[in-house]
Amino acid sequence: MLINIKRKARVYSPWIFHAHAGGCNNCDIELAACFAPRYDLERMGIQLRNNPRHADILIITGPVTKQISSSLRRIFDQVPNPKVVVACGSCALTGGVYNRDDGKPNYALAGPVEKLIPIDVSVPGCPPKPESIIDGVMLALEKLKEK
Amino acid sequence: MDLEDLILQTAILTSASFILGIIYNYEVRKISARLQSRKGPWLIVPRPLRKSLGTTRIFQPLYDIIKLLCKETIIPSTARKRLFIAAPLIAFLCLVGASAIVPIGGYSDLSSFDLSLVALLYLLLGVPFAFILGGSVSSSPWGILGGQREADLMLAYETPIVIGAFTTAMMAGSMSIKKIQVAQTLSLPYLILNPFAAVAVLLGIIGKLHLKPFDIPEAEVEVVAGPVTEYSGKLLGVIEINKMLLTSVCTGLFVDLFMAGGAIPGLNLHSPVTVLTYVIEGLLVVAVASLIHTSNPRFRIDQTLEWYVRTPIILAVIGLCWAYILRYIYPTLSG
Repeated sequence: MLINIKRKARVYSPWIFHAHAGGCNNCDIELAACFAPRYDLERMGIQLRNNPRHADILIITGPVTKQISSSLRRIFDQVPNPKVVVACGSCALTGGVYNRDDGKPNYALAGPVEKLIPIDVSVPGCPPKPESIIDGVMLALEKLKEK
Repeated sequence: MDLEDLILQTAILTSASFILGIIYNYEVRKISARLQSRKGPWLIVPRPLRKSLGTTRIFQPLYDIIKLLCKETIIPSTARKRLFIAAPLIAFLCLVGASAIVPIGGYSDLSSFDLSLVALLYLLLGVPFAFILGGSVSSSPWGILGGQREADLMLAYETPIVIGAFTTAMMAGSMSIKKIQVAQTLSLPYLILNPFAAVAVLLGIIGKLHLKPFDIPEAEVEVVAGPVTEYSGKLLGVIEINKMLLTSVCTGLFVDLFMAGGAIPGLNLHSPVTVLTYVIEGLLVVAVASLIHTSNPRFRIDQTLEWYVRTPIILAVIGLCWAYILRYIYPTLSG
């Protein structure tokens, strides 16, 4: 029963930290829309925290530039366990429009998020709609319950 | 009163004020969400979602606390470990003492002792000190900045609370919270007799609870989370518990000193109805506080200090003079 309460509390109050790792800022705007009046994720007790130490879910947007890669790794380590990582948008998943046409590596990228830290949930789209971000968060909750 | 009774009563009062604090904090979140045309945590979850999301979210702060208490705690390697762990626990102990003194609808034997008001004010002073300590030893620049801001802010908001609280003590002719409460049932609630002191104390309490115009120490975006920045997991859970207790203790202090602690004239002070009116009056006070919380942007620290000297402290002094004047005009109304 105690484990039940623990799981319940975990699913009922996930706090999100949003890490911006380069890119065009559009995913960030869509993520902000999730907490605005129309979609308001706080209905389900989900809060946007601006501190990785308070977070349960780490949402990463953008193709991870070389400059930000070490900071991103540090932010990942600062989130206490159990944690779930959500990669949000095509850039975070593959590099998106920042990949070169001729297949050579882009000089500014440290690769998509997957190369640096393990991803649990991926939300495709350029940018993903708030609905799909909410869907991604709900999938992340399922993973969080099992961790 | 022997020790066993004391411990039992403290436990009961602390858990009661914890539950009240959860409901008050839910109210703050809900009212501020509604005023921003959001929904806020659901009071009643829509039927199709009930299986996965529960039936009600009125205990949302409690879920947050349980979740935090089950999480991993990271202690920064550069922090002073013992003080870092001790700081939230010191604040917790102070608040347990404080919530044993504040009577809930007249139920608290400790409140009838002389000087219980002074003891309560000292215990409440311990909370910001522990807050500053936690931030300062966390070795994070944000923590130190937040602690410094809290130290400045504390000077500003404690003054109107102390002057206003002693004004009520003067009007009742006693330093014991119980006697102040009883004196109000014999005449009128001090909210009506002395609104100046009441407003001053309410403004001080808003500063103490770090609600919006005065959330300078833990200003998000500016200093990340202030002294709480480096706290995570279980210690953050203790800090959240402290927040709940502080909300209900401060609200309870206001209700007891200015609204007769929920007592209705003609009814016995120890009837269960008093507890009900106490809770309703507490909800009203929190509603007013959260209206101010939502409709104001954050002040800068220098603006806050200036504003506190200009408005609440002046109001508190006027209230003090008003109490003197009242004594001469209506000697029967005050002790």
